Amino acid sequence: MAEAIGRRETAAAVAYNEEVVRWFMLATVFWGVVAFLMGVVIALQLAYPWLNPGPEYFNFGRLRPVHTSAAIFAFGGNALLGTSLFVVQRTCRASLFGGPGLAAFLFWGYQFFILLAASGYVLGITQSREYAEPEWYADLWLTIIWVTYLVIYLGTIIRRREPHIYVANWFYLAFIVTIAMLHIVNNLAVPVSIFGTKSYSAFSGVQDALTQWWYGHNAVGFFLTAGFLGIMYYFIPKRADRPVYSYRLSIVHFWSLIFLYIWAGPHHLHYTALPEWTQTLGMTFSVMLWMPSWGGMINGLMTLSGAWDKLRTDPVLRFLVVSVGFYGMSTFEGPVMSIRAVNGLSHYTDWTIGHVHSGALGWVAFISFGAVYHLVPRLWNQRELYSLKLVSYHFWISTIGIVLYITSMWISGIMQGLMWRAYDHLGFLQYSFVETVEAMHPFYVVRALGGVLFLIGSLIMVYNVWRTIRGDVSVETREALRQGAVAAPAPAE
Amino acid sequence: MSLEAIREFFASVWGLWLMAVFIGIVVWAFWPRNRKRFEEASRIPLRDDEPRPRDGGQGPDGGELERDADKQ
Repeated sequence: MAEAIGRRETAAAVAYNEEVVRWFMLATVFWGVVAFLMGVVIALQLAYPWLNPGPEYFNFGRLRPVHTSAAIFAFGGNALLGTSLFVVQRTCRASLFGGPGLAAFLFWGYQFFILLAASGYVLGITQSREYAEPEWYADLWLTIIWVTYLVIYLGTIIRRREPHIYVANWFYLAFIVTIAMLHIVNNLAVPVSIFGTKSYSAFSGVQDALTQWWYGHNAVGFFLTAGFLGIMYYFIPKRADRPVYSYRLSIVHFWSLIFLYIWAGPHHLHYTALPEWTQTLGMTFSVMLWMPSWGGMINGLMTLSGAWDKLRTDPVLRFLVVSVGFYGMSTFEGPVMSIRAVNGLSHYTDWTIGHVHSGALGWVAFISFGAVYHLVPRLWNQRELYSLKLVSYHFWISTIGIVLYITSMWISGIMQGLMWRAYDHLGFLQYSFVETVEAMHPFYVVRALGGVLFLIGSLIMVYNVWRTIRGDVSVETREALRQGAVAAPAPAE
Repeated sequence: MSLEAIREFFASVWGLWLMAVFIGIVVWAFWPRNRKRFEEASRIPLRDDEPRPRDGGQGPDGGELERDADKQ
């Protein structure tokens, strides 16, 4: 009975709020370009130090958090908020709780938070906690926004007309709830005055460090992983037009991820004042994370079994599927790097940067591109994108960019780690620090080149999205649609 | 029983308890009788109000034909 309602009445009865999803998609594209541009700028600043001429506002130290926050919270965050609000409505057959007003408040409030945070970084206002740099006033504002988000999301689920809550919503909800918890605990701080921007953390010493990395690693686990897995579990089945490989595996994937991830933070503090048993605990749980990560990857990839040919004709699906490949790759690399002995070599080197970017560019950005390309024609009532060939160009240019980026950082990082620990026959350090910096220069240039390619790819996306919204269809896409090569539904009436 | 003793008791069984919950979830997920329910659930994104690509754009119910075909 309830299911029959779910199937028959949706199109007629439920007025989905797609307006706010449209805004979020535009914000995703916009902030994506900003994040990649900032990345190119700071990569060049590292390769060519004279690009830090002063005043201090635009030096590497100030711009680096602008880049990371723009990538994670502005680009990734808008992709997550937008897709989650789309997916929760569709899979619950219900419109957004709180109506268009609350949704608009969420959108503009979140953009305001991004501006509040970024302006602080440039002016030197920072808590100096990685990925939690915004000071107390911005943190309080984000708390209000995030609770609004939770209310909208949960309210929509509660008034669903589909009896079962689809698994993508579990991942999105875990992301929303856990980020709320992490954000509040890690930012417990006392402002010096209500008119000043400076605050002091409620924790000190090693407790402070562990709280920060409990936050930091779970930001990776629940923001950059669980949230984007929500995208995977909706958009890959949707685009491939077949159900997920194993729904039961997705349940086990979800719960094992939830049970394990929260413990992995201490692997950021190997060989520090943190007790060794805590380091070992973090390391052990990180290694155990292989299982859910690869279970999830297999689930995503095997969804295409019997339909692998679609990868040849549909570049949007290619973005989605290759992102899952990168997810598998970086979640293999992560546990390796969390092992204390490996960490002794890799920590504080460029290897970490390479690892982060294989996850951020390959997994997070690629799956977001796939979702944007899938959603834009549907949200603006077009049959398909302006040009699938341009999507293909975007895919290959960015993939080459990622390969250049991560290989250069791997080599640079391992070289750096080996040079730091090299002793001569008298027991003295063989290299001075500046010698290691000099040796890294060519790799920094290659890395910047990889970033430029990724930026070019995103600009192709901007053009393609803009033409799609205008209602243009290229000759080659029209031909592909005629032959039925891509799964494009007719626009809703 | 003092509060400290209660805390100690729960701390000692907490790992086992979480393990039991997790194993319970896995058993529930793979329980044979639940198979059909989960297969049904996995189709939620596909029976959307968008017409299915293979139904020639007939409309929201296009997906249903295919679902019936699956059952046979």
